[in-house]
Amino acid sequence: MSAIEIHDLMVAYNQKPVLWGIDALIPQGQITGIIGPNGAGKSTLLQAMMGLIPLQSGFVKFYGQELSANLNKVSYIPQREKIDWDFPIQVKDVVKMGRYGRLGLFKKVTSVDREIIDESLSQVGMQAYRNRQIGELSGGQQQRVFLARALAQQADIYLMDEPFAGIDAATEAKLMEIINSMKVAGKTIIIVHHDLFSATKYFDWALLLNLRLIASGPSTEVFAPELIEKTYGGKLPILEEIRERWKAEHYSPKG
Amino acid sequence: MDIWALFGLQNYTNRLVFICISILAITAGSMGNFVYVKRKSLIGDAIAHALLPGIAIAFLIAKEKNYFMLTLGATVAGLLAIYFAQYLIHATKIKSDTAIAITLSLFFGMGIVLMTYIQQSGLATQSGLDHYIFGSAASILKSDLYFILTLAVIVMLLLIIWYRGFFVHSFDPVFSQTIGFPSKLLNFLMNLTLVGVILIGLQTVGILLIVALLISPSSIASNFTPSFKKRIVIAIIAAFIATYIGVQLSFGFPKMPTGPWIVVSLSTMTFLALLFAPQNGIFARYLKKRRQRFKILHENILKTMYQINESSPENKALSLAMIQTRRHIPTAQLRKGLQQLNKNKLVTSTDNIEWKLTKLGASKGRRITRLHRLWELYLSEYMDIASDHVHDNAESIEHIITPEIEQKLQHKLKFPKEDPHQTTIPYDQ
Repeated sequence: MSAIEIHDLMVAYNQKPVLWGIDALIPQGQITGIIGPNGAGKSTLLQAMMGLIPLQSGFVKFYGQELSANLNKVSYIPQREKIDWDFPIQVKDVVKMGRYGRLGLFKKVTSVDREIIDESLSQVGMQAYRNRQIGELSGGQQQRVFLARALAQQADIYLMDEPFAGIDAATEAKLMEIINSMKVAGKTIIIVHHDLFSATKYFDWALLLNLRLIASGPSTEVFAPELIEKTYGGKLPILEEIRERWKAEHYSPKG
Repeated sequence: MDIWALFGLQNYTNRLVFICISILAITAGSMGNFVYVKRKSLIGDAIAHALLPGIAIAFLIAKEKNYFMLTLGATVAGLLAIYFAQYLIHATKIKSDTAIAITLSLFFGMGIVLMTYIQQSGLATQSGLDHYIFGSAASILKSDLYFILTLAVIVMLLLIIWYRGFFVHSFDPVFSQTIGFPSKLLNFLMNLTLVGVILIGLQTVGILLIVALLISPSSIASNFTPSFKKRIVIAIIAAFIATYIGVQLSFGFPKMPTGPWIVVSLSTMTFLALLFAPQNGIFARYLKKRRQRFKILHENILKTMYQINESSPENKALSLAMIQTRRHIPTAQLRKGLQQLNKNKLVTSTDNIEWKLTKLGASKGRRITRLHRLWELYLSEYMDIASDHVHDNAESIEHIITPEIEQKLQHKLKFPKEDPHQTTIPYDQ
């Protein structure tokens, strides 16, 4: 059974088309990797799935429905560089935000919420840091805090944008351990990842992406030399020319 | 005995000014933190300037100082300015600072043109409209107080009710959107609150200087705590103190406007906070550096004295010259350092000419020597640095190795006996 259906997705970002005709099914309860070179549109795909940037065409469905019908079932962890680490906020307050999806803007934080916050913190091993300023943490710890916030959301689907960027190997292994335990708990996890070598170990399912979808399926089938060659190999010259023209013309077919 | 007299506020007008300014301090201190953490100071300034044409048009329509029309005009103009600047940033190649500057001057310019027209029509003097540019606390009326109070209630209610939304939206707008918080509405409400605060300060501080009341208290607060809520409290207190001083100063010198005095005292406080903040203040950092320099001097003296005596079984008393042959330390520094070490019972002397390590001093000297040699070994074994390249680095690192790191080094290197230069590494017995 698939948790997410992506159908004929086209997305332009910064006035340049990034994703072309993406069609993919993402299976329930598995760890799926989105793999591709820099500028392949991996993060754009995730943002488009979350409705953070407009679609030129196509749709994304979660459990057969729009995202808006599933807000509390889907959790998104942004890239670490997108966060203002100087912001005056403590670890526990970041994790508390995970509850706001259910509480909304006005409902009070209850003792049940507090328990969930505590549990999420200890699940990622950050209990001892609950009162720390987020800016004081190391990169790996920051990533764990945001993972804890996602856990506190108690979602079913987790979309993670480059969670291993700028993190040492030992921390990456720890994060992967947590992610694997989430899978055991029946969660669906989608990870944008750039390291091909570890990708083959981490993911049950994979999407090879380079502006278009090159392959999607079980890791064992997708990580074939000719498909990887196609993903990481040279650009398509005519496609590049079209993208440049799109940008130069300020083209917007949808008005 | 009148309680107002305690604060030097016997005079009715002074009291009125004081109350209005306090309300401003509370609202500006609270909202200012959002502006400060979002680095939106320039936007705040642009909005303030942009209110002028709105106020002028409202006056031209109402033909009198009508608070409702004034609020309406100012709000529309302020919001227009924000969305105009945002449009410029998104739709053109103009960068945000330029877009904000263009908006600010465009709106303020229009405002001045309209104000000149109103002034020439002879209506302005009775209306007190010209006070809005620099602020004029002395000409405040009781009706102004009711106006300010109403706005303050609205502003504080918005802030309290929507606090969660404002906070999440400020910290992580993308997350806020993914959990279904209404981003556009939150943005709009935050801008509305900001306009409200600026309107509260219009009569007392004026358009040109109001941004100081939004930014400076939060900037002061940021020196003292990383907690957002505590920062709001500190910002309110700071704004309150500065406005109180400003008001009193302006009462002391008649014909002096209040707004500039408030901003001057606020700026002074900002500067003092930067100087004397407990952790990152300029003064605190200077003290820390100074302590560090002395620590390094002390450790170098102890280490040198230890090493001179290292090979001999007895602990000889050493003259300054003998220490200097092993390590060049300028005489004045060396003498001062020895005296300080003497005070801490790390060295002793009978004649102030020759100095001897105490037992504690010798142990400290031994420790620094040990750290130096451990670090040299670590550099050559784990970082593949040639043994003739490790000394200088160890000279600086030896002073910052904590006992915990020392233990880890010892375990990692398996309690080595010799450093890369085949010199013995000394351990405590």
